[in-house]
Amino acid sequence: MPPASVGPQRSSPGVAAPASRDPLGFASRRRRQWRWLLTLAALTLGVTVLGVCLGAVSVPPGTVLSVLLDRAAPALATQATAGDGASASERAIVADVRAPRVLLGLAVGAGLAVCGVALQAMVRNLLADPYLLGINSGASTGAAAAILFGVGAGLGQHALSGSAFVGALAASALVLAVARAGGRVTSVRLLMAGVAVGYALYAATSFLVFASDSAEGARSVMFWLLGSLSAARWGSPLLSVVVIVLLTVTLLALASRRLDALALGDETAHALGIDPTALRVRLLVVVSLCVGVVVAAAGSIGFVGLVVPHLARRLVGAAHRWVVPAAALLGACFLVAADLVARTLLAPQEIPIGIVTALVGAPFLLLLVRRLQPGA
Amino acid sequence: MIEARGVSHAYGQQPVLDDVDLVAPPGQVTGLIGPNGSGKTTLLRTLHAQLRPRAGTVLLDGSELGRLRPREVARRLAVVVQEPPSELPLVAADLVLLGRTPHRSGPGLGGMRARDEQVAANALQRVDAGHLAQRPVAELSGGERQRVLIARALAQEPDYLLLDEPTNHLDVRYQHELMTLVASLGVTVVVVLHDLNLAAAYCHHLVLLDGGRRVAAGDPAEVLEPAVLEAVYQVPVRRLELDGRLHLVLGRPRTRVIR
Repeated sequence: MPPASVGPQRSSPGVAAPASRDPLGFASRRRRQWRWLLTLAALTLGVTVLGVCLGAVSVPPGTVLSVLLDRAAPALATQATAGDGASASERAIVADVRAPRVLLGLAVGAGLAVCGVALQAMVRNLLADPYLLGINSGASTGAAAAILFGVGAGLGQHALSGSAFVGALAASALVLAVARAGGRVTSVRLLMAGVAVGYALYAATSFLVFASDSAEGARSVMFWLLGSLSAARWGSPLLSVVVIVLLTVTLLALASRRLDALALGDETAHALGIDPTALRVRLLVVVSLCVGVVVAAAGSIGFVGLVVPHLARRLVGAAHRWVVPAAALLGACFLVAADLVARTLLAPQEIPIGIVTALVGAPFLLLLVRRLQPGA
Repeated sequence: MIEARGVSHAYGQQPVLDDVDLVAPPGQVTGLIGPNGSGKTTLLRTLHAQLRPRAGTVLLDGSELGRLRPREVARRLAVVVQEPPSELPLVAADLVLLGRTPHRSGPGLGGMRARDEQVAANALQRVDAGHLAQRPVAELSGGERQRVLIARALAQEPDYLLLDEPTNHLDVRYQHELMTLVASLGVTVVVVLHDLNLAAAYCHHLVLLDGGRRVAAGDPAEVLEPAVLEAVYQVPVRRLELDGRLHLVLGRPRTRVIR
C-alpha cells in the first residue's frame, strides 16, 4: 500500500519558509558557547601553570617550562635551555611531584564532572551525582578491600582501580536492579535505591577499616572520605586514570544527543527511537569505570559532580553536546584550583581537598537550590 | 497504514484491553474516546511500541511493530506524550531539533546539519512558534509547550502522528487552535481525546472504548449515538445539529437521575 504520505516538509516544499542562515537563532548562541569553551580552555591552561608553579616552594614559569621540556624531550631541551638555573630540588618538585599531581587533578576533576552530567541526565534529577547514587561508596568499598585485605592482588598494580571499578559497578548494578524491580526504572526509585545502597556500602567500608585493625587503614579512612591528590606519581596508575577519563569524556560527548533525549523522559526517548533502559545500563558501566578509577586514585572528592554541571549549563545551555566539554574543562579547572588551595592554605601542611571542594561547593549548592523553581 | 488486530493487554491481573481492532485511515484524524480507564492511552501506547500487548499484533505499513527497530519506527511515527517537563533548561529549539534524532546516524557530536536545523525551523514555523525558538521550555505556557512538542514530532517528518490528550490543561481557545493545527497537518493522526465535542469537530474517524473493549467505530455521526454514549458514560446525552455540525450536550439537564 502506498504510504499515506506526508511528512510536512516533503508534502509542502513550495510553502516551506525561505532558507535562512540562522533559522533557529542558534548562530549567536553558538558564538557565545564557543567563546565560553575557549575561555574555559584558557582558564584550565592558566590554572595548570599556576598549579605547577605555586606551592610551598614557588618556581617561576620559565624554570617549570625548561624542567618539563627537559624531561619530555631531553635532546631538544639541552639546546633550548642551556645555562638554565633550575636546582635539583626544583627539578624534583616540578617534574616528580607537582606535574603528575596537577595532571591527576585535571583528570579527576573532568571525570567527576562529566559523570555528574551523565547521572543527572540518567535519573532526570539535577541533584544526582556519583555520591547520591552510591557509586562512590561502592568504589571506596572495593578500594578499601583491596588495600586492607589484598583483594584483587592478582591484578598487580591495577588491583586498586580494578577493585574500585568492581565495587562501583556492583553498587550501580544493585541500584539499578532495585530501582527496576517491578517494571520501569523511575527517577524516584533510582534515587532512593542509590541512597540506600550508598549508606550500606559506606557502613561496609567503615566496617572493613575497623576490622582490619591497622594504623594504615585508619589513616586511609580520611582519604576515602575527603580525598587527596598527594599520592600522584608518574606511572601506569596515573596513565590509566587519564586514559579512562579521556575515554569517558569522548563517549559521553558522542552520546550527547541520546543524553538530551534521555533527560526529557523515557517515553520521549523511546518515541525518538532510543531504548532508554539499554542506554542507562551502558551509561552506568561507563560512569562506574570512571568513578572507580578516579576514587582509587584520589579518594572521594565531593561536590565536583554536583556543582560543576550546574555551572556548565549556566554558561553554555543545557544541550549535552555543549555541557559535556564545558563540564570537563570546568571540572578540571575547579579541582586543580581546589588542590592548590588545599596544599598552600596551611603550607607546609596539606588539608584534604574534599574540605576545599565542600567549602566552595556547599554554599554554591545552597544558592542553586534556592533558585530551583518551586516543584522542580 | 497503522492497524491493530485483536490487541489485548493487562496490567498484572487487571485486564485493560480486550481484543481491540483499529484501523487508522490514511491521512485522516482518528480519535480514541471513552471514559477514564477504558484503555485509550494503553491502546495508543501499543500503537507506538511503548507497550508490547499480551496478545494481538500492531502493524505499521504491513510490518509487525514489535519486529521493527525503535529507530525505524521513530522515522515513520511520531508521538506527543504527556511527560513532566524536564528540569534541564533546554530551549525550544533544542527540543525540536531532537526530533531529527531518528534520522541522524552516527555520533551525536557537533549537533545537526544545516538541513536538520532547517527542518526543525520549518516545524516550529508550522505550529506558529518560530518566535519561541530560544525560549527555555520550562518557561513556556501550556499551549506554547504543546505546540513546541508537536513541532518536535513534525521535525521527525513522520507519516503518522500519535497524540495522548494533547488538549489537556489548555483553555478552550487553545484546544481548538491545537486541534485545527493537528487536523491540518495532512499526516495520519491517532489522538486520544476526552472531550467528545472536540472529537466530533475534528476527527474523521472515531473508536469508542469502554472497559477495554471496542464499543463502536466509524465516522463521528455513527459513533456518537446518544443511546450508545449514555450506556458507556452513564450520563444523559442529547445530540444537536447546529450549522450542519454535530454537538453533544452531556450531563444532567433534568433533575431526574438516570441509573
